[in-house]
Amino acid sequence: MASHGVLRGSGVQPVTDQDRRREQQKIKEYKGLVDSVNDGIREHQFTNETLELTSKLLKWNPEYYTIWNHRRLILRNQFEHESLQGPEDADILRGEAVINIISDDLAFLVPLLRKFPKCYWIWDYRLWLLEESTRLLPALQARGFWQQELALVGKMLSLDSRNFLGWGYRRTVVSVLESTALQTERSSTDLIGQEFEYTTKMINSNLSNFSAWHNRSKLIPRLLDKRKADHGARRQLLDEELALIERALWAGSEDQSLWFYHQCLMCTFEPKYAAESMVPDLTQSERLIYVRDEIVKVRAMLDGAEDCKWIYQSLINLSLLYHKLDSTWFEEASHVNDYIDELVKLDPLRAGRWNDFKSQTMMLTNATGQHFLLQVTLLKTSNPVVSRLLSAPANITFWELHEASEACFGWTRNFIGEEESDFPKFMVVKGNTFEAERVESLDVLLDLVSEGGDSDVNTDGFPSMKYVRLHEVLNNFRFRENLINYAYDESFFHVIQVLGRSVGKPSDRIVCLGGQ
Amino acid sequence: MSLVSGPGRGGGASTVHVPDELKLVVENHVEYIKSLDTRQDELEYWLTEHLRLNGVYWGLTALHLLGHPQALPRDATVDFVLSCQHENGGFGAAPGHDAHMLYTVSAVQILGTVDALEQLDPCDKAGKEKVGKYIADLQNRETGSFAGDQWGETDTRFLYGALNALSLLHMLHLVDVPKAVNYIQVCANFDGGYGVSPGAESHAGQIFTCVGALAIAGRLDLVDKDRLGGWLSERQLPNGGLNGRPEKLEDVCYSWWVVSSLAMIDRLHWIDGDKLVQFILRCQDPEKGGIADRPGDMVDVFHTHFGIAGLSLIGFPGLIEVDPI
Repeated sequence: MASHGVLRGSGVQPVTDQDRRREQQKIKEYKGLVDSVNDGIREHQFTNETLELTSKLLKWNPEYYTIWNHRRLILRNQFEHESLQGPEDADILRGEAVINIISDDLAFLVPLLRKFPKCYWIWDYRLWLLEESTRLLPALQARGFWQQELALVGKMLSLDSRNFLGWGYRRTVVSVLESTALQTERSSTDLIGQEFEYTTKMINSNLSNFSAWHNRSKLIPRLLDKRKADHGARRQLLDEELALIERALWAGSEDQSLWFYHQCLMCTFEPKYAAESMVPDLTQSERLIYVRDEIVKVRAMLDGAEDCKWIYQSLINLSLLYHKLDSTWFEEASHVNDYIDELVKLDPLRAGRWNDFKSQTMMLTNATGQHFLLQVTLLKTSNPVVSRLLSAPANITFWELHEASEACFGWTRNFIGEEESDFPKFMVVKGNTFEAERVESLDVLLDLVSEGGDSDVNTDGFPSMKYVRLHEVLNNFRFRENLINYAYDESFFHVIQVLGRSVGKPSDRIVCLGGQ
Repeated sequence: MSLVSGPGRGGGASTVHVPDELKLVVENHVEYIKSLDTRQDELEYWLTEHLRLNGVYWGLTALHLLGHPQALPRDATVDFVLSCQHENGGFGAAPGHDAHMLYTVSAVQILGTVDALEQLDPCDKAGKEKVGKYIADLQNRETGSFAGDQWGETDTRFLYGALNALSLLHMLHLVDVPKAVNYIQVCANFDGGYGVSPGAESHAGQIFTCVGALAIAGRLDLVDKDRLGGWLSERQLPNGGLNGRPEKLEDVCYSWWVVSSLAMIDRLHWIDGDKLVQFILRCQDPEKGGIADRPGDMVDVFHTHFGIAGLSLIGFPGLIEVDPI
């Protein structure tokens, strides 16, 4: 497509006969060149002359992908030719010939990349050429070629610091340099550390560089793994990153790149993402302290920036995260609703999203102080029926309920410390028809089985089995009239039925009221 | 189908005056698309030959959405598509251009649109199977990813294209769908989005390909919908248009990539549809037809297609409803 962002000069250009003649002449010349290249390849003339013709054509039109393929064929042919040439002891000479061919071609591409930095085919071809160097040359020489690329792509990114293809190319080059195929005695440099520093440099020259922040988020876990960082070292880097983003946010609170990086750091405290984060093994209470500190820090930013929608957005997300971890509100729940009202005013484009936020917090707020009256039945021994009656706060997790009911049945098993695969798998069964279906995938916690047997309930918002709270399911209108079935240990099934709801004083106690 | 840009310009000849009530100039767009193949006296027609088959798909789909499916001659379209096919079953952008995933997908989509997939078969009984096999052979059975062609470039665009074309051909069984799904998950980022390959930055176009592929595979449950929906909704700028990454300019083509992704994860209401409609309509040339990337720029068939498809998805009256996947 020639017209991405093409702004023509104002007014209609007059087209003279001379213009038309010139255009026809150019078309003739272009088509003639295309024909001679294609003829050359069809006739297997993989010569320097044909190579020159492809160069001329590609300079004119680098998007013509078939011509890049032609060029690959010519080079492959030349490589093979070199390997057949000369006496057997001419390995070194042959290597030099390959080096020369590759160097020349890499040099040919540089001005093209500068002129067409967004052309996928040029970047692809260049990578192919480098892969050929890995295939054909000893690691030391091939490594030399790949190493040079970091300087080249650094130059490209200094011209356009957001070039998508450039950043992708940089990541590929780094991963190849890290690969075992290219390891030599001299290649012990800390490449990941260097790349991390590179993102610092890019961020320092322009805070609004989402590409650099993104790359940083991807490099950190690798950097820590590579350095075999212990818990302390991981926490130290986390603290440094939190301090860095806080300073950046004070400088540019309207900058969404920064808020996305902040959100990314917050994944460290989010049960669903913590395992892949930079400090995977924080305790629940440590996470809570971090989140609380972040709420305080972000709230301070409101001073003088009351019209910055990102601050409200972050405060809501942090409050919801805090509530997810502790089922209490750090900010008053009413404050959270006020923030949402501010957002609707400040950012009407996304009003639909903010209204969805509102219904979510309303649901959570209403659950405070609520208790469920539950009957838990052990299914495997259907005659006589074994069941227990429990009063449970709405904000406990299913896991806590499971532990409590096990205790009430009198056979407490200590699950703590066991593998997550031993967790009971919950599902909801519609109506009174019980269907003993296991939920196989650990990713799915709740599965509503309709009478027809189709799984038709959207289980969004239940990120992890461990942390789903009773009210999130039992107060959801789609689940209200259903039985919940859960299975663990392959063979034991329990059925949970809601017998009643009560609103009382907030309490975190689960009480066993009776049983048979 | 020519990929030549212009002659129209988004907003028309005078970009200063925008009429109060913008409407979609359906007839002008139909005429614009029909006129494209008559422009062989322009150099750009020849310089964009490597996109010819995509161009046919864009033009044809736009015409179908505009309610003028007959505006392009069906037989000539099918003949042209078949003339781009290679021995190995794959399609190139135009006769004489090498086979590649991108054009093979367009070919299958065009033939599917005009109900001519059977025509792959007449002389060669296993014609459809050949196309399916060409696509399936490009899957890396270890990682689940797909290459664009024999030279091996890998990109989530090709993965989506493969699943899309194979589902149209009813041949998804030829590939390892669970492995492909795993590969997409490796391309996921903390912001909820997806990149072109593992580790790559989220980009609205790539998000469309990854979410679309998951939708075809029936695994939308793997998407963090609230997080992704948040990131996607922030693509809308105060002028109503959408960009593809943070801090970038708006562009009509993201009316498709972003909006269809939002639709697939049930978060279409997280952006302002009316403002987006106004933006797209400001990008059309009301006299000569065609839609540009943004007001003031030259129109072309790519943006015409994605603009109209975006309008259709938002439920603009008078357009045929489009499937977000």
